[in-house]
Amino acid sequence: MRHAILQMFWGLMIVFFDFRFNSFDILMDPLGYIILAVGLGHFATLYKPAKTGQIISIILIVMSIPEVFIDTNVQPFMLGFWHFYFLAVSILSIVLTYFIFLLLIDLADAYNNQELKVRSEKTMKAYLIIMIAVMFFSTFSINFRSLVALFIILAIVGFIAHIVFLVLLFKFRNLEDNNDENEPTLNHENSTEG
Amino acid sequence: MKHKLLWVSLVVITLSTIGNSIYYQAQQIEEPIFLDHYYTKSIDGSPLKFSYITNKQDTSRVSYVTINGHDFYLEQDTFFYQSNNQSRNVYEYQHHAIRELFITLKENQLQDIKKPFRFTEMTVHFADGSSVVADIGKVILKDRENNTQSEAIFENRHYGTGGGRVIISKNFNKNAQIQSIYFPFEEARDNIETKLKTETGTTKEEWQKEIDESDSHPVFPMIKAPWEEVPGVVFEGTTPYPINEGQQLYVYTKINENINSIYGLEYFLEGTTDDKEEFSIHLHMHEEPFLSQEQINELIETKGEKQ
Repeated sequence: MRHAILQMFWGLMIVFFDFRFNSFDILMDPLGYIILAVGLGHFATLYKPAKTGQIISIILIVMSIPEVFIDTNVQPFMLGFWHFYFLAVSILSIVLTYFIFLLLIDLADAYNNQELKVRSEKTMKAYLIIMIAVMFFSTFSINFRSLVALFIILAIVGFIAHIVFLVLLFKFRNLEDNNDENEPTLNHENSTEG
Repeated sequence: MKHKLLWVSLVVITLSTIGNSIYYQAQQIEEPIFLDHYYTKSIDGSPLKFSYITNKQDTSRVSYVTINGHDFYLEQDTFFYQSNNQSRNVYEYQHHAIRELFITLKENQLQDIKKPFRFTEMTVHFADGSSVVADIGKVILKDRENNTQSEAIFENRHYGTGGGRVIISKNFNKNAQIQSIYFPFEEARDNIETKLKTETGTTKEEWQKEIDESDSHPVFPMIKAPWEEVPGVVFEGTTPYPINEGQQLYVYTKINENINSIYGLEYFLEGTTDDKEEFSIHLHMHEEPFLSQEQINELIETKGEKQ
């Protein structure tokens, strides 16, 4: 459990952070997706979202290969095929995060950790709203470059959302150990949920 | 339910991306559009600047130009080093940018060319081998002329320029009349307005004293003053304007604030003295407007269609 969560965590860390030398990404995204897919694999038989997430990760292992060589932050104005290619990659990665959230909620539920379950649900809602808003506004960036300040703010907001997600995921590494401690909060959390 | 909302959002994002790319593509221009330049210039080795509108992400680079069958190479833009070697965006707009190219006119290269050398078109050759015939306005190149005005008729006094205005004054030593105004191009006549005014003259000594004692002459605020407040009568060359001996003639001139072309030309006030001696007063108008987004759109619509 702890091992699988940490694999997912490090896989996502590698995907989220880019360290580029001459536009070559040292922390190669495909590598991150491989580790993530392996991590998700531990849950795949018991939890359906993990299975779906694993399939998306495997697709992204291949699809993220061009990003190793092309820095999409430096050349955001590529048009035609690549423009839509990177859109597809971003959409898939949001969908992937969505299934990871669903897995976390299922895990919290299975281990009877209501506090973590509620926290995951809230974080998922906020994360998806923020990321979808960021992506939606970013689609206008090719035509409205004068709003550059807005796009910078959106990028920062998106980055913070990623960090919050990673922190949540990192918390799940101790789910098994904390299980008993959290049990008393069950009733209290249930009342706030409705 | 949550699933559904997520999928709908992702479809909306995809549609928005498609919409934005279609709009982006529709805004691109097929080839650069040159602004109109109205230049009269004597050949002195200094480069001639031409500005053009192109797509902001245009990766092309101009390698040389052909004018009236003669090839001219470009001055390198040394503003800063660009690794991708493409031309630099001098001003950026929503989808387009203004770029500049500088043509060197070396006297030795122009020796065999008949002057005045006039042109309205220029074939612009790009590094990738493509070329466009650009409508660049009107340019006249002349040999350098020695412009020594005798002080017998008038002496120079003020000279000020800025913000599309030029102010000069001359102290007249003879009775004279300004009879006409000569513009090298009709477009210049349409866009340049001239006001004349006479005042009591100053001797050279008084003038010198005036310069020494004051930081700025009361004439110079007229560079910024609303044109209606600038004194004098509008002179269009239809009725002669008389000047008496000892009077100082003030010439105020302004260019239309809404021009979308570049001016660098010389025009003249022409007159005769009472003893039938001809003279001319040279006026220089240099104006390069900063174009608004609306002006850029308008130029693309009007000039882009023509090309």
